[in-house]
Amino acid sequence: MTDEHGHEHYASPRSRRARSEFELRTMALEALLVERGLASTDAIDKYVEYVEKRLGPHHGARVVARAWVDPAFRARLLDDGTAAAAELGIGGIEGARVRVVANGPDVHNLVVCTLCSCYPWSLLGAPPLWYKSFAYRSRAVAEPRAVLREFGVELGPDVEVRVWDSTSETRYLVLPERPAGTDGWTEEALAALVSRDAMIGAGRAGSAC
Amino acid sequence: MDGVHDLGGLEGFGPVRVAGSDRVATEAWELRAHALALQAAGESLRPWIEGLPPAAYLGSPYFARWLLAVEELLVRRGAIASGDVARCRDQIAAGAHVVPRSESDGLVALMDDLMSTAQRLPAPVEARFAVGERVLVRQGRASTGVNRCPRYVRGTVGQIERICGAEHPLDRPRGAPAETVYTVAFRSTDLWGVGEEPEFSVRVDLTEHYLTGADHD
Repeated sequence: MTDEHGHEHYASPRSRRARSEFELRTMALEALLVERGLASTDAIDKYVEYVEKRLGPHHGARVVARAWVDPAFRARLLDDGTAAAAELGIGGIEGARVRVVANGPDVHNLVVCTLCSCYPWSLLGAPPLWYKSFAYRSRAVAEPRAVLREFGVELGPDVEVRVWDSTSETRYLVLPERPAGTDGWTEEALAALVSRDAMIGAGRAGSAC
Repeated sequence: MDGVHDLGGLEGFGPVRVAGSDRVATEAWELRAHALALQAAGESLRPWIEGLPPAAYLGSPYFARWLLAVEELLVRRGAIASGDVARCRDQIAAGAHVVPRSESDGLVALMDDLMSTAQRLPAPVEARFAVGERVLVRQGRASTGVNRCPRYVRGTVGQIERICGAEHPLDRPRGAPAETVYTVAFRSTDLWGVGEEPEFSVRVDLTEHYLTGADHD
């Protein structure tokens, strides 16, 4: 049930939790800008619904699964991530220039944005809190193996680590290694193995067992 | 500007993974604040976010920084008066003011554009450096506009790994010509010295004016 004033978009005033300071300030700014015609609630609602309902890591997982089963697509994806994703109908916010980098037995890629929190929203949705944390932004470029260890990713000493700092309009996605024992799997089943963290480089695609 | 947002290589922020850090937007206001900022700013908020006082930047979660930045921009622009937000906030907290509903085809179209079409990037321009060439990142403070050249690579030699295309440099005035953007690969030993971890590489995307030839120029 919604009340007539749009408060349903914020925490319910009947809930026991007090509104946070930032929530109150957001409500205040929204009210002021709507009253001045500088923002409209239907446009805000549309954006929130887009991010919450339409975006998400399932888009990136579809791209990865296709690359695992189709070598020609994989080659196109690594050459021009934007165009290859568009072949699957995937694009949108922050997706103007996408580069996909492939993990292999000897190479592991990790994506970060030290200056803000640039992220491939069109393929992964909004970033998790850890990706935006000061800890990740400061440490990923200086001690990637220590960071990866926090995610349970232990790399052999001979694996080459490449860290990608997203300082331009390019947004990076990691193509994880296809798990062993998945021969003959459908794309859909393969996509279910591809986690968000694996596509940032902070995890591996799930194993078949 | 050279602000606290330039975090690469700093120490002391603790572990990356903490309770709840796997979540995306955690509270309903966060994406609304983001949408408000995108809708009302009409320009990049990056300079305003970088320009937040360091304590405010470090003390606020990600979407709150967008909120504070757009507030500052709108006050400077005269769209709202200083103190308006605080006053309205107090009224809302007291139940004396409600957020009205509104519709605007124009603003919906603006959001549609942001969501559905890829942002238009400039056509490629002539590239001064070639893939494989060694380049030195220029020294200098990022005092004008937005900083897209992290401090940790300045004065360091790297190698051009890829030519990404062209962009309008964010630290140059609006309307400045597009420049080639390069992915430059740096060795960790050149950035940080020999550390506990085996050597690795860090790849950073840099517009041409940040670079100079390392072997001849």
